[in-house]
Amino acid sequence: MTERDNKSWNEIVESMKTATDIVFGKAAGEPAKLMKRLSDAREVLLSPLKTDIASTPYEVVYESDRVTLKHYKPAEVKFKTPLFICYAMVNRETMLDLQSDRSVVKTFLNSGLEVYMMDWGYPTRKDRYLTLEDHVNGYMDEMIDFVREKHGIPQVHLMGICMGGTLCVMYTALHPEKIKNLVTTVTPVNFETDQGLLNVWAKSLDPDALVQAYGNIPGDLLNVAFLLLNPARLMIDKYVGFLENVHDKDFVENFVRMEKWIFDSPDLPAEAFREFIKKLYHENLLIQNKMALGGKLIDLKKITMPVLNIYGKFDHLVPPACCDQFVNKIGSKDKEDVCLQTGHIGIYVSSKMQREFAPRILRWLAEREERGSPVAPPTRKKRAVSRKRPAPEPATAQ
Amino acid sequence: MGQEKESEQGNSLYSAWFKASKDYWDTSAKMLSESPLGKTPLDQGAFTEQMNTWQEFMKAMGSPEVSGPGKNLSVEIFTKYMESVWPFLSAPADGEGKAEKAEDLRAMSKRMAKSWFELFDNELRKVLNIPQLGLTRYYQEHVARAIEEYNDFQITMANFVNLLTEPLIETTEKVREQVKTAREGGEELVKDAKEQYKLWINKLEEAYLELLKSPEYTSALSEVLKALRDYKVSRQQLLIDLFQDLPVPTHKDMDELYKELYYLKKRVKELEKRGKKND
Repeated sequence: MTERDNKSWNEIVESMKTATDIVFGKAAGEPAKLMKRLSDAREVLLSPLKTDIASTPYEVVYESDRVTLKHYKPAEVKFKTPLFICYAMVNRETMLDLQSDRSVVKTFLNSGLEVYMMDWGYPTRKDRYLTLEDHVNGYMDEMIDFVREKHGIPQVHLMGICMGGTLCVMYTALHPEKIKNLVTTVTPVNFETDQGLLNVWAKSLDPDALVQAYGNIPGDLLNVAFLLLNPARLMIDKYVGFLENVHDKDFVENFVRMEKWIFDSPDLPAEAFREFIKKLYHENLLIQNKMALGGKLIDLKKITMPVLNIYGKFDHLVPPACCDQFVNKIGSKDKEDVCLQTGHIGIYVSSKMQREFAPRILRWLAEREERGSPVAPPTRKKRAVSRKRPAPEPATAQ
Repeated sequence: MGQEKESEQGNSLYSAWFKASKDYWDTSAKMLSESPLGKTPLDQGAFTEQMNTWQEFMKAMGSPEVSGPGKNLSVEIFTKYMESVWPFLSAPADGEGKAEKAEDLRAMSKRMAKSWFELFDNELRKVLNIPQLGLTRYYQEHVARAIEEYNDFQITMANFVNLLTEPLIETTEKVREQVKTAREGGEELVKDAKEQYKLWINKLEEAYLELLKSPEYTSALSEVLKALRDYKVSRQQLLIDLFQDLPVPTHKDMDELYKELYYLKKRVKELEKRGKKND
């Protein structure tokens, strides 16, 4: 029996008491202050709160099964080529438009860049057999062709986010003729590292077991994994911070918006998940030019267009080691690695990054706007829909 | 000889416990029947009879005449349980002695869990794996398997949760000790609750990071996911058995359908592409 095991019951009780005292003592401060805070908090929580997310207007211009394409049009179009954004299949693309003063989409629109954004939707059990190839050579390709045809242009700018960036890398290597410039953000391409806990855990993860147990991988299960990356901060400190600031309406509104986004988690299609874990986390095939989709080998050397690769120095989900080898493996001459002093989500939503991240992409794209487009646009007729996004939800009390 | 002696001790302990339980419930039932709520349909006689029957049954299960893997099951269960909790229960009800004599709750809960796991492995699992016979043997097997997998899942999950709560308890103890030692040495390590919290949360974060990247954690995680898979698959099989005669499609039915639909759609898309190329 260890020394720790011999500690008395009283000591354990005292320890737990100390823990709660610490947490609540920190949140409370002095009794008078506490009463004032509680009163203010009551006022804030019972008042109408503006917690709507993704409120920038858009139009749904294309639908294929559960996947839709959103079109954001600026008041004045200043870029010749639109930007096509592919988000991860984990969580939702609404993160790029979390609130009006912290919206990557809005920054793009304000500079005259037209945006098309894929919404992967919410997979149901019928989507469990969809592979990575179905997503890359299927949905992505259909939608990029749709945009090329609609604008009568041979190429689009492509931007990928996290896992969506990995899909963009695969797509660009397989269809380089359709991409004018590629922007990858917090995109894992190298999976052979111990820098991130996800990489460590995934090595001993049996995706077959999870797929057999669940079919599609539940978003909530993924959320549990993400919370366990740093339980002290994400499950305790974050909510202590909330209690400390619950009297501040702006803080509460921002906090609730983020909570809405974080826990809005679609399930992951079973086969795509299985493939992603096995081919990437286990075998690290992509960076070695050994991965194939639909029988075609993905050769990163075929990526020859300008590439901007942005990642966060303090990213605990996709650490720098997952991102910083990518540009060395591609065929492009015009390529740039940018490591920002932020984390995985902060890169898109922190107030500091609003001045660095999106403006940097805009400058980089603008500098490359005039370069040639060697391939003719497609002429095929595609199935298009037009559906205006409903008006943003009204302010609601939480 | 040794086994017989153990069995005798177990039986004696078991009888003492059963008598104490019976007395307690007898008294409670009596008190309740005499209270203003006594008009409730509580029949003390019937209750006592039930208890006696249960005692006889348990005795019979534990008697040497009963053969098979579960022959001493009730005694085993009770003995294991009492071995684990006795030191805790036997501590004085109050006063300083409690802290000194009563054992660590965590150690006790670990011992209880360990006893249960051992018992399950050595006794119950064997019972669940007794060969099933007759027309419904497959269905019986599915039920037994679901119970077995459920227990295995509970066991691995309990270990996993234990592992996850360790940094919390450890860090809290460490910080408390650190602050206490500093105070005894005349040093004020933290000025207020905020500073103490900051110290605690930083240490907790470090402790978790250390645990979460350890092979011990990844191995526990793999085990719990595997156990979850096995349990869910066996439960699914049980549900398929239950629903097969009802007009309700099971996951198996739907998955087969979805698979066909998936391949059909893929085929249609390919044909569409080919058609357009030919145009």
